[in-house]
Amino acid sequence: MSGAGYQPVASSRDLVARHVFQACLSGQEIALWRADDGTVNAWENRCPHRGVRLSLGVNLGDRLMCRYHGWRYESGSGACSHIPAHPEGPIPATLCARRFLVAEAGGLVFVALGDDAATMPALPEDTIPLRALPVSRPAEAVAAALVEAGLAAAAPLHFIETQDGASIHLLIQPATDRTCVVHGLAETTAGALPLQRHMARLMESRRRAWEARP
Amino acid sequence: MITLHDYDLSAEGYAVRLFLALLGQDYSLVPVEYYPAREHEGEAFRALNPLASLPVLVEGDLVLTEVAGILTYLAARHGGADWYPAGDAAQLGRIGDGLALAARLAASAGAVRLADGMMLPLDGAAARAEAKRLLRVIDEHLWFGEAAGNDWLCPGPRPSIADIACFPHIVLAEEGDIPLIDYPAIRRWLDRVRRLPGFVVMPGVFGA
Ligand code: FES
Repeated sequence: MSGAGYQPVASSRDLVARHVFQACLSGQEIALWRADDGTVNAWENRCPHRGVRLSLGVNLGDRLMCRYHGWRYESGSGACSHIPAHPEGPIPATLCARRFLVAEAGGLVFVALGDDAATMPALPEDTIPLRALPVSRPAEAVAAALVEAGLAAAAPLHFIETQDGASIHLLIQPATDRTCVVHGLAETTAGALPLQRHMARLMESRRRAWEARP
Repeated sequence: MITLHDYDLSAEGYAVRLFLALLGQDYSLVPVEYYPAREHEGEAFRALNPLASLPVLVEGDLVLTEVAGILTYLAARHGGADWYPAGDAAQLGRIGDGLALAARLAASAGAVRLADGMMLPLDGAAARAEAKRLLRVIDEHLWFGEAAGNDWLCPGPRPSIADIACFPHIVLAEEGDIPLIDYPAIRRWLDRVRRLPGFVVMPGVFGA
C-alpha cells in the first residue's frame, strides 16, 4: 500500500528500552524497536532466515536477535551481523531485515509502507499521547462513525474534536482489513492523567457502539 | 518438603513452578500425565484430589488443589513481606482480585489452549471473546499503571502472586489462537515478568 504516506503505528512511549513492539499496518506486520541510542527501527516482522516473527526476538540494545536460531540484525541498516551456526563464516551483504520508513512526531511513531516521498500528517507541537484503542472494525467504518458524530476531518483518517477544553486529534491506523487502531493526541498543558482517563472511557464506550454494529 | 503433582504443559502448574523458582524453594515433582493418559482421572489421583485437577501441592498434612490457594500459601509461608503484605488489607484485597482474574483467564484463554491441544470439546468462539474482553481490561489497567509508575498488576514496587497467576495464561494465549498484538502494555508486562530473577520457562514460553 504505497502512497498512503506516514501512518501512526504506536506511541513513542510504547517503545520502551529493550522491547520489541508488534504492529500491523494495512495487513503488513511490523516489528518496531528502539535501540539504546534512540534509533527507532521498523522492520518487516519476519526473520530473513526462516520467517519467524522478529517481534518474538530480543532487543539487544544495538541489534535484534531472532528467537529461533539467534541470527542478529543491526539497528539502522538491518544487516545481519551474526549467525551462531557459522560464527566465522562470511555473511552476504544482501542478508538484511526488510526496513520501512519510520519517523516520530508529536509523541507518535509513524511508518510509511511505500518508499515514495511520504508525507507526515500536520500535528500540533505540544501534545500528550492518549491510550491507543484497537477496534475490531475496519478503519473506514470508524472514520465514517466519527464523521457521523460530527467530528472535523483534517484528513480521511485524521479527526479533531474538543474534550474538556482540550483539542484532541484522533488518527486511525488501518491494521488489517477488519481492524484498526485509534491513536489520540491531546493539546493540553494541564494534568495529563485526568484527560487520558476521560478519553479512555469515552473511546471505550464509542468502541462498544462501533463493534455492536453489524 | 514440598511435593508438587503436576503436568509439564499445564499453565496452572507452570504458575506454581514459576513461583517456587522465584522463591528459590526446593520441591519434589510428581509428574501426572494429563494427556493422553488422563492419569488425573484415575482412582489413585482422585484419592489425593477428588476434583481430579492439577496441580496439587502437598506439604506435611496440607493438601492444596487450586492455584490461588497454593500461591497464597507459598507467599505467606515462604515469601516473607516481599510476597505477602500481611498488614496491608487493601493490597491483599487487590491480590485476591488478581487471583480471581487469573481464574477467569484460565476458564477462557486457558480453556481454549487446552481444548486446541488436547481435542477437548469447548465453545471456542465464546471463550476467545471472553479472553479478549479480559485482555482489553488488563491492558488498559497496565497502561494507566505505567503512566503512574506502576509496573505490576497490583500497585507497588514489587510483583505479587497476582502477576504470577495471570502470566502463564496470557503468555501462552497465542497457542490458543488469541493474538496479543492488540495489547502492547500487556506485552511489555510479559517482558518485565520474564526478567524477574529466578524466572523459569516451560514449553512454549521464552525467557528474557
Ligand atoms: S528464523 Fe530467525 S534465525 Fe532462524
